[in-house]
Amino acid sequence: MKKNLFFALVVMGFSGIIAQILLLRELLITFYGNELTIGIILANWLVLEAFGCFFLGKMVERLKRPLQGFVILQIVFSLSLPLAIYLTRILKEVIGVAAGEGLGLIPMLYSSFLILLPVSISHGALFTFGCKIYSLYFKQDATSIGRVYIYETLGTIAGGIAFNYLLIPYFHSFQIALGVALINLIIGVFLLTPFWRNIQLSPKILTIVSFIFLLLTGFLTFSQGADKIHWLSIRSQWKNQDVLHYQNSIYGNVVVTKRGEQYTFFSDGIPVVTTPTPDITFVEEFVHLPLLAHPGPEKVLILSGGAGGVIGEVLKHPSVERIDYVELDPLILKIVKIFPTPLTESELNNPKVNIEYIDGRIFIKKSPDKYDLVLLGLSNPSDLQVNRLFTQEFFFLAKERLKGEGILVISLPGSLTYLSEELKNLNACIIKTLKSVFPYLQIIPGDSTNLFLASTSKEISLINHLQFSQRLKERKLEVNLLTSDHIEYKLHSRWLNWFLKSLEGGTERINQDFRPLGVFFSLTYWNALFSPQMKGLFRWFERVNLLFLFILFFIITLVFLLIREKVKRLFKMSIPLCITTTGFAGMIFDLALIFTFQALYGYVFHWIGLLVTAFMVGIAVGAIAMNSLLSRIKEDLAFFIKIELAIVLFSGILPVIFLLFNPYLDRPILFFLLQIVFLVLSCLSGLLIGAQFPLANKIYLGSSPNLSRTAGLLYSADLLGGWVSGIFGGVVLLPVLGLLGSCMVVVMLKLSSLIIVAASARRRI
Amino acid sequence: MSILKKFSKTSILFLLGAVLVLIVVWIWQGGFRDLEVQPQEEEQNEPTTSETPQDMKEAMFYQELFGNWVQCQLCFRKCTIAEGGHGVCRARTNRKGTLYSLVYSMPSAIHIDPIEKEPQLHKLPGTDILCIGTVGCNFQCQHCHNWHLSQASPGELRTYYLPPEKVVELAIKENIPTISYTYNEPTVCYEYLYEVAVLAKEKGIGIIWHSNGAMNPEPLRELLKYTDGVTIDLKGFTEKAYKNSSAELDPVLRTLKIIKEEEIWLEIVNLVIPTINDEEEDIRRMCEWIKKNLGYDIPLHFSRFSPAYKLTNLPPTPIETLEKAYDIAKKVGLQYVTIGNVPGHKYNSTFCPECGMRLIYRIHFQVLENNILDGKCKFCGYEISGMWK
Repeated sequence: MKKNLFFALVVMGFSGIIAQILLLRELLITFYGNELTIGIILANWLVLEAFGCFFLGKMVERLKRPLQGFVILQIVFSLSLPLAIYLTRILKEVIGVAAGEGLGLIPMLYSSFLILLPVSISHGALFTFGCKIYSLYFKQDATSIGRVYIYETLGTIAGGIAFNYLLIPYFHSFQIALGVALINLIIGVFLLTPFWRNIQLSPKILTIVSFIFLLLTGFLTFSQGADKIHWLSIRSQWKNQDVLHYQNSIYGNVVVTKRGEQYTFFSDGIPVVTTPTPDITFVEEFVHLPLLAHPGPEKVLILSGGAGGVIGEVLKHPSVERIDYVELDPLILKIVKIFPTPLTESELNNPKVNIEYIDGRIFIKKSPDKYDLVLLGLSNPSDLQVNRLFTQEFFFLAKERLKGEGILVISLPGSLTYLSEELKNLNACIIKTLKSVFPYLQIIPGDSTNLFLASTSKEISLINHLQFSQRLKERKLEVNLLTSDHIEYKLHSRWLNWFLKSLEGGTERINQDFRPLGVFFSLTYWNALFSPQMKGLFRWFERVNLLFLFILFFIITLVFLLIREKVKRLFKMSIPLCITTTGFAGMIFDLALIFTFQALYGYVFHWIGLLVTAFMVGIAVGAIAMNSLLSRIKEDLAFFIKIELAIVLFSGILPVIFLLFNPYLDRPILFFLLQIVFLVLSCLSGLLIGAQFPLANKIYLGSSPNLSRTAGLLYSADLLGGWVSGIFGGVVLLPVLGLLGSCMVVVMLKLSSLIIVAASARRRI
Repeated sequence: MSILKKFSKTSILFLLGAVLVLIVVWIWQGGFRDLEVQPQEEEQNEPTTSETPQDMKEAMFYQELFGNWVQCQLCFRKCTIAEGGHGVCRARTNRKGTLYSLVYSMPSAIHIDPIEKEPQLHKLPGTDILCIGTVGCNFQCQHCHNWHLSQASPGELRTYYLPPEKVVELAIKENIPTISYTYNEPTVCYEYLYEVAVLAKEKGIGIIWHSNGAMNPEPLRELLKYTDGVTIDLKGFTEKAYKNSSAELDPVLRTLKIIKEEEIWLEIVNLVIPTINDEEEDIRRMCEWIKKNLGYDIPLHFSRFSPAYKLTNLPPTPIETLEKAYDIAKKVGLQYVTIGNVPGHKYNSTFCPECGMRLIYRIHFQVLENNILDGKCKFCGYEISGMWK
């Protein structure tokens, strides 16, 4: 039985992480993937888990047979996971939104909440039920919560690794979800079998029910059923479009649709390549204006977005000898090759074209070559990962890779009609950043895309439309759109004058690795599009600063200290409060470490996985160590406060390490060493967070001996903290306050909870 | 500090260390500089608004109802507006039983563009137009390219102050033969447009406007008296297509018929959006309707969609679809059909319906060749409908 229970708890963690990643990926295909939507989905997941853990979990005390409750929860979880995936795919049809329409903030909030509801709540409650059952079998109260926490974490680590390396490349979502359901149902049956000898009827009925679902799930998994559901839901998700291909990679999802003779390749639901005819206006202006601005481009680097038009246009210039084309996910080009068109074939098979599957930031850092042009094919820094190609640090790297007359080309959303506040700030921020690195900048405003040509050569700012037209003739380009008239129109001074005038009053701040403001302005722009009613809120976020937060925390702490004598219950809340702030800190650490790593080393999927795993291992080790120490600790609270202090110290030191090392990263030994430091820090941050949890349980149980209430309360407090930083961490805190500022927020928050817990302790003693 | 005496000295050291680190790091990073950042001077950037009655223009078409309620009579929606309320377009408000325009003389966009961008392809090819746009719209198209203007409210955006006489003066000063009301829906700034049109007519400047065509007959006929040319966005030929714009088809068809009746030059744009309005059968019915009700010589432009505003998850229109639509329109018997937003496409140009020669060689908005002489085909002498002088 004990072995069964151990497996059940590990499987709980295993299933939880798989369900979480699976639904996140599925929802992102339906939604528009950016830092905010990722945050919202994760936050909804956490808050629902917390709810299940606390409110549903509390019910276990009233149950006569908690084990059966556990199995029922497993059944609910198992059945709702595939259902949630199905609902995600038919969501737009259900809420009456056209398949091609993006969703705004509000529909995303409530639809992801409703879809995740049964899955996350049942999973959250499983934790509390698990704790209760575990304590019933092992007759230990304080350590059993810790043990369950450890087993769950171990399952989470295993699930994360299995999902990315064993499941995603080979199975579709329904197969994975049904597989998870299958494991859970089998465990359920095993958990129930010991009770068959009892006279009661209920375990038997429950076993039979489990068994029926088990058979059903098994049948669907191993017959064509899963495939049928898969395709049925995809047809609804891509309504009225002929879906030819659907595939996942570790990075995301790729779908190909056909309409007439046209293939469209979608990456996470957004069309990225259209063959045989691309958006001619975009590709011709994006490629030829910069290439014509250069007297004789030979070596060109394209970072993302090259296939399906851009490379083809670059190749038209007779002087071009070599194109390095960098794309992170090999899957999209692999699929483009499956549906060949003359254009893409000539692009991808041309001997001048060299394709590298690597993160653009790594490539530009490691490549020894110098280029005449660097074209950045991503046009909006809408998440932390993409924003790394729009920061000051990146522009410095790009500058080093440019030859004397070399040009860096980037594009941003624009309008030739009206520049809204949001567009203004986004453009102003990146222009300011470019100007801080490059002495010369040529801006070409456009109807939906603004082009920015940055160079260290003065020529870029002097060139006029006559020279463009001259070179157009000399190079004998066969183009569709560009004529000398069109170039004259595009470069007419009235557009630039209007653009610069509209830009007045825009932000003065620049986009940096450690303060990725570009993400914030990009999200603000996106929000204005879908939820104009929330524009004001974002403008307010822009002005958030440390002083404001400091005063806020100060007042909260003060108010607490003042009313503590009056309200007795508040004392008890000090421990959960600490756990909430720790949950907040944990999420910020995790986010900060991953995002800093990406900025310094580029996006390497396995390394990111390793960092997350190190964090989770840290949590597990911390919890294990603390659990075994629990009986030997005499002054629980003093120890608890020491851990609190350690977390405060850690969040103070964390950014300092990066800021200290950053200037010396060019030295190979340090470059290598810091990677190890990253792993150690990830593990350490997990360790601190993991160690606190069992101790908090022990302390809290001391004053209220209700085990499942304690487990539920503290675990949900932890998740709640994660929820707050999930929504605000990547959207407001990191981008607006920067790495250092965010860690300072953690310091202030932790200090305030520390003071509160210390003050409460004094009263108790 | 009495709280901390309960705990060991190491705790205090820890705490002091943490605070020290905090302070050092903060100062190092210029934390205090951050704190000194003054709140931005809002006043300067605050867009000018016309919310005070003396700046506002009374609406020309509305009915007073009981108890200070009014009903706007300008477009098909006929909004009933309570005191202090706005119409669906957000550009009109009811103050004490009087309906006012909030965008009169307050454009948010003023630009010079080729007339081909409008598109008005049969009116003075290759000339410039003075484009004026205000704020608000009575439709909510999910693919709107000018959503910054059309889906905003007056007061939210930066505006210029440009009364009607100044608009006409500007056109004369810049030597531009035509003024165009475009970008957002011109219906919502009716009074502004109307007065500019009356003045322009006096000064010999042309007036065109690009509309979704949902104005009511009475204001429409009044405005057409001073209008030279109209471009109507026909967003499809089904209610489903109009649902994507939260609007209705019938009022638009009525408008088209009235413009024809009043003998004002008319061109139609049809943006073909995959899965929304690209059914061949619907396109055929639309072309037949145009031929029957408006005539075979009405220019019809099929335009390629590319993802915009909220319609971000759709593919661009396949060229094949546009060419099929072109073939259908030609087969039905429409004489002047073009394909837009596919630069370099053969049918971006206009061809003579009689001899098949290329009349106007066009790439996107640029005219490279014009073979129309005195309104006739240079090659065969066939009379080409349009306004060529």
